Amino acid sequence: MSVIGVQSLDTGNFEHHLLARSQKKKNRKKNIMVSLMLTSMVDMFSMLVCFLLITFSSNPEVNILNGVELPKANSGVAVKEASVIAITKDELFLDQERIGTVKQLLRNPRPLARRLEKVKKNWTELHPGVEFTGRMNFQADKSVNSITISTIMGILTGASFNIIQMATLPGGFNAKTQQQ
Amino acid sequence: MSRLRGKKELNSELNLTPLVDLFSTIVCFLLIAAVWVQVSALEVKQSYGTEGAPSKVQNYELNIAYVKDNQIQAEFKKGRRKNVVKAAGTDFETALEDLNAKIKGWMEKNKDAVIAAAFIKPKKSVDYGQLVSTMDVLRQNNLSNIGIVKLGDR
Repeated sequence: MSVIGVQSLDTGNFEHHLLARSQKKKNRKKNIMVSLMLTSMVDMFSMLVCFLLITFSSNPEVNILNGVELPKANSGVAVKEASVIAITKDELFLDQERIGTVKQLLRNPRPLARRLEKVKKNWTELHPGVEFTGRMNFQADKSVNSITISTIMGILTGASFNIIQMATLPGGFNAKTQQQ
Repeated sequence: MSRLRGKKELNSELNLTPLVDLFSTIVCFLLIAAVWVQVSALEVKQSYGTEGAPSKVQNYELNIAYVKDNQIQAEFKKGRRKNVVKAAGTDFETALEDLNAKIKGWMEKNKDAVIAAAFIKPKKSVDYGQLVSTMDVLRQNNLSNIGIVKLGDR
């Protein structure tokens, strides 16, 4: 009897019931709390910000003129803020302003000397009661003739700019490695 | 009593999202604005004369001159006394290495002597990069008072 009873069950309905139940299980919303651990991320960000702010404030902004390939040196020190004279292969700039071609200025240095006088005057007006430091940042392309360099340095010295900071990039000859 | 029972729990968690937003913006700004090229400087004091009170220490003057593309002359001068050393190599770099060794050797030999100033005489065939390399060698030998001679001055 019982066997007959089982057989009499509607198998189609049962399958449908099972399918509906599994569908219900899938649709049931799971209450999973997804929380990111933000503390370590905030720590990392704050350290990064501190580091970047320190490096940002310690180095004065140095703009390297286009067309100037700086020479390399190992014993360079930190650059101090001052006016910048830049010499490309054939042109000369003072504080990003073109003064003239190197050839012209070597023949007639008056325009450069006049501009240097102006720079000095502005400095003394901005720093009343302070002795003129005579500091100048010097950027020149590494392929420029050394005689051209010395002549322009002579013009700078003539205009009371006696401390010349020659901009360099790290690298070059290393006496310590040579010793080893 | 019923009021107390119905009180909701206070959410004491900090809302970190705007903080993270702010930090990421600052980091982006600083990364973009930062100067990554490390520019350093070699300081040159362009003036003559190192006159001071006479001291017991022997003050020398070092004059560097470029003889050939691969030959550099170093002259240690004190009054009339001159000591000329020639550094040579296959090219400019090896000549510089030799110059470094020669200066070191001279300094070890004359331990009492102090080089007050060093002057570099430029040459047409020598470019600015080579001039700076020479200055770098002098600097690495603890010579801080370096000047570049303007042609016709000396």
